[in-house]
Amino acid sequence: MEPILFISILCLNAVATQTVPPTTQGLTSNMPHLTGCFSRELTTFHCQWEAGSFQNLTEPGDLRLFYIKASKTSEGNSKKHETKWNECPSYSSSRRNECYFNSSNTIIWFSYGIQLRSGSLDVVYDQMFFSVEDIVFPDPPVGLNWTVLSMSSSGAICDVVVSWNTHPSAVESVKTGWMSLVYETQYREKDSEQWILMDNGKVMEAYVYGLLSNVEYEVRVRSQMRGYNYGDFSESIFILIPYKEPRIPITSVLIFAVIGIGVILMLFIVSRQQKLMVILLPPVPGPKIKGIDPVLLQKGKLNEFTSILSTHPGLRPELYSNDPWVEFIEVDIDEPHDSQEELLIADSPVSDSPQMSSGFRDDDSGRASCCDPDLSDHDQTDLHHTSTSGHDGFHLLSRAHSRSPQPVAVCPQDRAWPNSLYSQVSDFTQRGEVVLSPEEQEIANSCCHNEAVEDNENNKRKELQWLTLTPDETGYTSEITANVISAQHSKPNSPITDQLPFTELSQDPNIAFREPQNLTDSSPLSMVFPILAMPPSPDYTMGEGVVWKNSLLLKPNTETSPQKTVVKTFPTLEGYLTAEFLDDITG
Amino acid sequence: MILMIFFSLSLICCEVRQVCVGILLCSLQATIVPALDCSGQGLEGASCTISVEKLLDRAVQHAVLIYRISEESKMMFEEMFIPLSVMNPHVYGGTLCAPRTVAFPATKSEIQQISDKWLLHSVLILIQSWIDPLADLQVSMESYDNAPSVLLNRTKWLYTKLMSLEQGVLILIKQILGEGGLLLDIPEKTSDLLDSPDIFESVRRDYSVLYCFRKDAHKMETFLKLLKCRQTDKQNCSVF
Repeated sequence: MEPILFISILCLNAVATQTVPPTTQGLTSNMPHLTGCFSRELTTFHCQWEAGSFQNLTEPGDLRLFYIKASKTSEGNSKKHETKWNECPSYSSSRRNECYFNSSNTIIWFSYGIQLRSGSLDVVYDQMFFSVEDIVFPDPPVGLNWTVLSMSSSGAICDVVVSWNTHPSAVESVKTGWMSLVYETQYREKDSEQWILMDNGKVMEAYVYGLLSNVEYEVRVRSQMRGYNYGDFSESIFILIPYKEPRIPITSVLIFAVIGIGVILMLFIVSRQQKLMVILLPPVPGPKIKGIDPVLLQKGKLNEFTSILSTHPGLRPELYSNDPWVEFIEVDIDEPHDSQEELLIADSPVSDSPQMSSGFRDDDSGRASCCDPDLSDHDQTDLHHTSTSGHDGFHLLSRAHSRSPQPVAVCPQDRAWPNSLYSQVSDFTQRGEVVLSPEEQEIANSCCHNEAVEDNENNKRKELQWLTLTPDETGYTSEITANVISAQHSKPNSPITDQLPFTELSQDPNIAFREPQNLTDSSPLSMVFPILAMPPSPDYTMGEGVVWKNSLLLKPNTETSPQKTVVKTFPTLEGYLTAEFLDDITG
Repeated sequence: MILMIFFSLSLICCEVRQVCVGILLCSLQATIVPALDCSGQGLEGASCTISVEKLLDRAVQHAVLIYRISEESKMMFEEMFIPLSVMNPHVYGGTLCAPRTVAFPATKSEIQQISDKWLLHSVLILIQSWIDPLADLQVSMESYDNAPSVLLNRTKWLYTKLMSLEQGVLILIKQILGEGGLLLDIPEKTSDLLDSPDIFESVRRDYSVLYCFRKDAHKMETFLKLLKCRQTDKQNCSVF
């Protein structure tokens, strides 16, 4: 109950009175009323009133102002008649209807009550209550001026600094710390209605960014005692920045410079096209045989080529037999073979050339005659000897079948083995003769891409195919050395099987080529030596003895080849591999 | 001990959400802290104190910050709980705030005439009279249903900062007035305790606490600023 009554009293009083701004009542025009009390610097204040439309109150002294320093009153009791009201200490002489309270009468942080009474003190026209700090309206700052802070390169946008000073009345207060004033700046374009506000704090300058040239702006500042009321606005100043044409059009200069550089670059590229192509995309070196001019091959002068080769001590006429011979081994995927022996035994000799030749493919484009794909008897025995002798430089490339029953991939035979001028050497005999090895790399590559296993095996096979003929032949060195490496790899894995192919070979002397053993691990090498994965140059192909059905069946190796997980990063092979490099790879 | 107090002051300062003022305070205190090059262990023969100017600077900054936060808290409270400014604190005849037992200097002239001693003591009495009401305010506000956490944090912050300021003013009294300058005159508690569960009453009471505290914070700030001005430049500040 009591709170409700209290609320109602509050509401009534709230409607009736106001602290600041001055009260607005329905009978404002008629009755005398207080227009407001103001303080400028928290030291003094004054109150003003209006007489209204009462004609008999225009005399000074008709309306009197009384104040009370409201002190101890019971809460909830808004009546003040029991406390003493004092009359205005000094009615302002300069203005009518104003009462001035000097500094000794101004109690700060204290509530005042002001009453407007009639001359006879019996009618209270108006009253208000306030605390002095709540009616502080600081004077506006003075001395506004502006300077250009910076201008954009095009001259269209610029930044301005507006600065001002405190009002003289507040200077002392601010200096002593009695009042702390903060400022607010407002600016707008001349014709717009919306002011843009900036809160500066205590700093007496404002940075206005982004003003357009040739547009007039209006700026004004007002001050505020922090936490209380804002004072009046200062006089507005107008900013107008003339637009200056930029002396140097920097953007256009930049554009022209960029275009010029681009044109020069284009000219340079066009004029030096060939050289640039050579620099950027160097040609892939072709395979070379020492002493043989590849130009001859290009021109198709095979006769000279043949003569050159025939004069080579290593290239014996038996290499150029006209007998067609199988060139490379075709691996038959679909036919699992238990062992290679039966294949080898069942192999037809070299003389059974048609059978064998059908199994071999060759896409050789430059050879006129058929190279002798088969190793001669003495070569085979030589191979055997050399293998057993443990020639470290050139090992008989033996393959170890990585997976026992798994057949090697069958590559569709779509190439024929034409009579080729030369073939790649697979081994050197002790007498210095060259033993050619069949080439099945391309076949293996071309057909066995689908299955990774077969691919690996084929890669292994072809890697084993070649030995380094000469150390400094870049074309084959990698392959040969890879084969060597792979031979070395396979060597520790299948020491037992090393002997087997040779025995088989010995059993089948007609087989010109050794049975390549599967590499136990060839995938890293094939990855390492990408040239091995590529078909060799079509100048010649390597043929290898093919077993029956035109498929090269590898000897199954019971040992599972350990996967070499460690793939060493091999450097690009330029030149031949040194022994140390081989050791690194194998070790 | 001085070191620890003001180190705590600086630490608390840096937790304030008011970024601008907080940074200001922190930066100012950060510049002040390195000036302390004593361990504070009471070394004989070595003057191990912060200068009065720096202490006063810190105290002024504390007071300024307290005032601003109290202002914002009051406004926030008004927006949340006091509809349409129904509660006009002056309606009561200006006695919304509890009267003081000790008469403070009222007018500016009086204030400028009183001595440093009385200025400091006035500040100290003011601070001490508000510590308990602020603690009660915290408890009361936590019982509200929908008090925003920001407001709760601010009242907590005000309380802690006021305690720090009290410590600082005590040290200032010791430094400026000497050891015997402190008059132990703890004002009696004027806050009515929380025995009225009425929500209206509690809201009214809390609002009056915030309103009056803001007023007194302004007073504290002014007094300390005057004191600082006097300490640094006696001539200009004495004249009014």
